[in-house]
Amino acid sequence: MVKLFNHDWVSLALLLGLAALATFVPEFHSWGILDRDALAAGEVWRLWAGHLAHFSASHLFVDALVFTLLAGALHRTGEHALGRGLVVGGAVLSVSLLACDALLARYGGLSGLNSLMLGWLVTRWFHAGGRQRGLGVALLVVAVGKFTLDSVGLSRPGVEFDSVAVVPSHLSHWLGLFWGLVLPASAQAKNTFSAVRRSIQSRSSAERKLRRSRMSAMESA
Amino acid sequence: MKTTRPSRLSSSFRLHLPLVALLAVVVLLAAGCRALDHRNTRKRSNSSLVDYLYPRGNHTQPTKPTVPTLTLPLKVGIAWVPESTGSPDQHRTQDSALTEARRKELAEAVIPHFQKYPFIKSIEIIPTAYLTPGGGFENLDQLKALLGVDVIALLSFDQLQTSDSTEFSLLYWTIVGAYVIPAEANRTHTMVDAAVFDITSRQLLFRAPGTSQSQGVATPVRKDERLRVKSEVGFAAASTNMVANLQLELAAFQQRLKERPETARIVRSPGYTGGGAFGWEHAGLLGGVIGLGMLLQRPRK
Repeated sequence: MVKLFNHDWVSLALLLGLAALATFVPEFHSWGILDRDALAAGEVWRLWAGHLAHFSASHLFVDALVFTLLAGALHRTGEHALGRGLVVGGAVLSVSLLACDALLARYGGLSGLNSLMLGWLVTRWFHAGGRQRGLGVALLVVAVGKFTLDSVGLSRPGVEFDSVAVVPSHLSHWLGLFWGLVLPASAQAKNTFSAVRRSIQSRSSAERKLRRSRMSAMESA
Repeated sequence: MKTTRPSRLSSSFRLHLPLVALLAVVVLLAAGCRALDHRNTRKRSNSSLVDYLYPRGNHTQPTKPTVPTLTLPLKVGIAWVPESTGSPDQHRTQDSALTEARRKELAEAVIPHFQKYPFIKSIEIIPTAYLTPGGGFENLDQLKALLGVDVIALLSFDQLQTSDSTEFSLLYWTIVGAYVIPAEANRTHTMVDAAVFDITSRQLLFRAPGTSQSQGVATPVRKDERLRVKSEVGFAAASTNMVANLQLELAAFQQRLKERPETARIVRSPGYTGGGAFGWEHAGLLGGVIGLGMLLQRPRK
């Protein structure tokens, strides 16, 4: 998963294959679902596996379709750290979801991560400038508009879950979008900070060299 | 002496013979009548859901239609509706066709079929004694307060047993025939009905009936015992049928909730399961914008 872009299609197929297993095989489903109690008992893999376990075939299909589309779009922007981003973002999203929604006992679905990738794509397109920037803003407006309609209950549920006991989690979308916007920005801030630090270091070393050469010139004089 | 005694006996026998014959005929007639007395019996036992929920004509004020709010996972109660005499002003427990132990046994058979659903938190069997005959929804409110159940499955039944004599019952006149000739045609019709109500909104969520029919022939001797056995078998068969129908109705109810969310409002409660899902429309809209963005973007080098 980390080396997604070294073996793009194989990694994607593997990921979606795991998602299919976690959706259709009951043992895998119960093993993978993000369960608050099980997580507290030390089953940390659920932080990532929970995003792969779905509640119906249509649920998996739509989420997988959007995931493939977003992964393709990020790939096209030249993003090399998608695998690493999914690993970090998946865990951060799961932890924040459980922390923010105290009533939530179990969670499953890829759409939280899809929202994260969507935020990420918006950031990439925004920094690309030009028409891409405009499309990035349009993408953000579409996502925020839909999430708002979902949250206030003005939209019909998009897909059916196998059980009526499963309630759509709108918070996962908002949190995903939030982390999708924040994580690349923080990574970029870190890069900028590193670049500034490097430039300061190089400048100070150049000054030291200059000072040293002046001193040696004075000594020789 | 020797000649007078036999002539006395003979005259006495001649005198009493018609009397003995008359007595025998009377005994035969009485036995026949006793045997024939069993024919064409009807035994009906029932508990009415309508009598329980709307006693004394309370149906004139219909329940205001509201959307049930189901807080998942649900706490479900199962109870048998108390039997009534049929009089609108008088309710009392009859010599019931179903004992409390048998009621519990039949209700327990329902539990495993519903415990598997994740939206059901617990299922509790409520003894019939907790239900006041003709108690109505006020009684259900009391049960909700007492036991904390959100939804209740009210089980009611109607059983009719008939026993009709066939042409062969003429042989009962022989007395022995009443013991050996199976000329009584017995029929048992049983219906068990489960109606699932949301207590707060007083709305019927779904219902499922179960029926059974059986018939056979028997001798009039031990007829009551045979009818009792048939009654128990009828309840067991009707309950099995009802459970199968209840599962179908539950699946149909879930489908209705998905297709028409206005049927009932599902609210989250502590311990709920959340699913993150993008809808088809949303996916299509995003796909359009992303596709456009990818087309406009220069491919990376």
